[in-house]
Amino acid sequence: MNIIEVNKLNYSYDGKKSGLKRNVSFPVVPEGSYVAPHRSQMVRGKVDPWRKVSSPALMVVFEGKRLKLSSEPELNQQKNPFIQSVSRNGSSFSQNKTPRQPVCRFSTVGAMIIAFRWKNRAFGLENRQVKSEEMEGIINHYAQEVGMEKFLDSAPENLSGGQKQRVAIAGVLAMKPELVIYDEATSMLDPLGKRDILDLTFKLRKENPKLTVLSITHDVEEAAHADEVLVLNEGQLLLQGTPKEVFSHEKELTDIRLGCPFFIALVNALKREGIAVPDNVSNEKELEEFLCR
Amino acid sequence: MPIDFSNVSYVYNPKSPFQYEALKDINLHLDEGGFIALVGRTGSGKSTLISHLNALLNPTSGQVVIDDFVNASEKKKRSRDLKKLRQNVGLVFQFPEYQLFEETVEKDVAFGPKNFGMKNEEALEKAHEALKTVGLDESFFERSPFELSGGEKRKVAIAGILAIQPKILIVDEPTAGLDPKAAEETMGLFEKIHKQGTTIILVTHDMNLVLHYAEEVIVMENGKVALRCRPDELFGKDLSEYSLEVPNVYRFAKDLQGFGMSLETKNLRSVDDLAKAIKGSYHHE
Amino acid sequence: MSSFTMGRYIPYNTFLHRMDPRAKIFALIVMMVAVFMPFVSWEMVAVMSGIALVIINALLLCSRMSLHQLFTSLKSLWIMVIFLLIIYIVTPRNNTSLGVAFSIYNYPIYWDSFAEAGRILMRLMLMIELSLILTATTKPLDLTYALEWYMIPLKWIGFPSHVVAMTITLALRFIPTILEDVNRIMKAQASRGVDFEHGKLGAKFRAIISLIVPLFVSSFIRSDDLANAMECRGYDPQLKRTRYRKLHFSWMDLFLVLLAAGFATLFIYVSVTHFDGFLTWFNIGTHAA
Repeated sequence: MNIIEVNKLNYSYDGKKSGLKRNVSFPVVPEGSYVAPHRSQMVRGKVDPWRKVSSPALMVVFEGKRLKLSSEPELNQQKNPFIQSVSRNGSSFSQNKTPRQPVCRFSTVGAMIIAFRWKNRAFGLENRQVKSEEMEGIINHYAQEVGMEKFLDSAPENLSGGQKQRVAIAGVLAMKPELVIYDEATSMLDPLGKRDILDLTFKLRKENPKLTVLSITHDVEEAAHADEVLVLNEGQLLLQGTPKEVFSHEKELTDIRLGCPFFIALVNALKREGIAVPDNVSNEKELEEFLCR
Repeated sequence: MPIDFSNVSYVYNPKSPFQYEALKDINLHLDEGGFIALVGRTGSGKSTLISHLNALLNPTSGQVVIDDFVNASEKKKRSRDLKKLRQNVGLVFQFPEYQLFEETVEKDVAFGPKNFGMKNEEALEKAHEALKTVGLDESFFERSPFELSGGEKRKVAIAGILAIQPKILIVDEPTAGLDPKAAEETMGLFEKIHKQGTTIILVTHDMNLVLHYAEEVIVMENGKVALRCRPDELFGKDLSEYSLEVPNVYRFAKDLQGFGMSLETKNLRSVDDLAKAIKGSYHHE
Repeated sequence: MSSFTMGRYIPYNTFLHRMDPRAKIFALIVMMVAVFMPFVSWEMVAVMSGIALVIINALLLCSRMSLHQLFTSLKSLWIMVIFLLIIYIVTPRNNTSLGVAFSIYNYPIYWDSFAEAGRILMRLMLMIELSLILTATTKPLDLTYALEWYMIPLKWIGFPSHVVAMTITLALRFIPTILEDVNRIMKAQASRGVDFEHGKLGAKFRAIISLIVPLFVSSFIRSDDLANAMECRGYDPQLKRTRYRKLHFSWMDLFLVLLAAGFATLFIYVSVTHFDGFLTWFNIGTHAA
């Protein structure tokens, strides 16, 4: 599993190009095909600074500040109040004593819940040395946010996949991050669970427009709902843009065997049957209206 | 190898506070050689049902007959040759990559055949065949399964069952967690095997898969068989009753019909079919 | 692999459930020590055991533990006790104060053997009951908190007690998950023809390997993921952490502690002073004060 140390990862984010912009909500990164054996590790190398990364300087632009993470120890001395930086191979833990406002990622289903419900949410708060009196309020608040307030005392095993993820989200939100990363948070859920999480994410974004969500996924339907889509393939950024722009590149997407959201696939199929769909039709509803005029 | 369920019921943890009736009086006959999709919400009894097919579970009442093997509730009625049954009924669980354990890929795939009595060389041969079928070439044979990617691991796990050459192949959510390309490859694999004569039973939540690949659909609800029909016949049914997602093409087609468009829904299995149907309805106007 | 009932926490709301786990642990240990105290005569043993039985079973009743769980736990004792009994019968005795029970082919079998075995049975039974009371009325998490509290002094000599406590908490939390894993892997391997029940030693060994290896692998992967998640949420073992759940020591707890201490003191006193006395008050037995 240490293959990530082999230098196949060569992310071509040029210095100027910013991957994330402030107030961009829900950019989505679908997966293409990969060279490195561990696809997800590749993406992690890109956005999870605390993963073991031995590749050359990795630039992650966050809120306009550049956080350079690399194997050179000096560079990690930068104060990073928003991201904890950890690198192996010769570098050190950041000597940051300020409580971490982390770029929180949470990973695939199941692994994340720690002890009982309340303990999970409390975990992050405990790490941040929040006073215990305040914790109760915070926990209840976020439990309500994700709709799990009735489950505060249940054991994790009794929850469904979707419910577990909701708890994990609450735990992460309690840390009040500015950026939340979903690492294939829905790939192991059934359709109901997937919808659960998506609905929740939308709700959260509506309530907190400043929240940026970066979702690593290969669910193209989910990607279709994003503000911005980045397509990675073999360590290179292949496409970037709004869902409509990105998915119109049917050929490239088929080449890397990435699916297309239903809507786009239908539009393309109609085109093949000789029915041209005008550009201003941008979702299913409008397509239906257009076809039935 | 036909399959027959006769009045099968299954209760988990009987006589305890955790008692739960997962299957209620199931009667089902499955012919040989079909491609059947088994769907239903979580908890409807799908996994319990398939566990009866290779005798991981014995019914609490009733019996399941798979070809000549009897899986009955009473011990004395049960057939003895469990190994033969499991050789004929291959079961690929969800996230099968978790079952890998051998030092090399080929050894892991050969594990199954060896358990069923094959000699080492023959088992390895079958293993190589199976690996090629799933798309892993010789370069993979001597590698450790643990250095492979998730998708490759899954292929190895599936090969492990294919090497046994079962007559019935049951797959539980084979595409869960896979990217679209890998999912397509996997389903294509099952299609190929089906064409070679194996009965395939696909347990899934993904109704789009059902539409695309299955010849027949069985819908489970609350421990009973609620519905049994061809995929295209699902169009007229209210799937939300069973907590099933309506396939995209159906949802769209239904909306169009709601707007007054007359659509031929007989053969709606893919986006292309839908586009053709829409075009067809234009020509009729 | 059905429910993990042995020692499981059962969420009732008895006074025992509500008590501070630290008090309960103290009481448990102290009472266990008491139960194992030696006494000078069989009559004393009988009396003290009787007292212990009554008190401990009273507590058991208060905890509303199911008798079923109790019997399951005690079932395994029988074989051991019978085994011990046989040993006691067979080994030569030099202090047979209770006399002969009966003889087999002129080989005397003393009541003492039964008494010895009985005493062991009693002690084990009480010990198990005490442990069950603790685990049935205390959430595993609370137990860990209590242990952590007790380990605080160890911090002064550099022992990383909070890290140990976190480790224990995590381990506890993942036991059900790992059990699920075991179940799943067994089913998968059984479907590949593995027979976990029958077969020669060699086959059984391979069967176990096919279970253990995947289990270890998935556990390692899971712990890796978990470590990332913890780190991501700001966990640093070196830094101070606040505590969400606070343990409150109340009058009830003090009462329990004193009760247990009293109980233990009585037993220790009786044992150490070779007390035989209060039997004379009741005129039982052959020994005088």
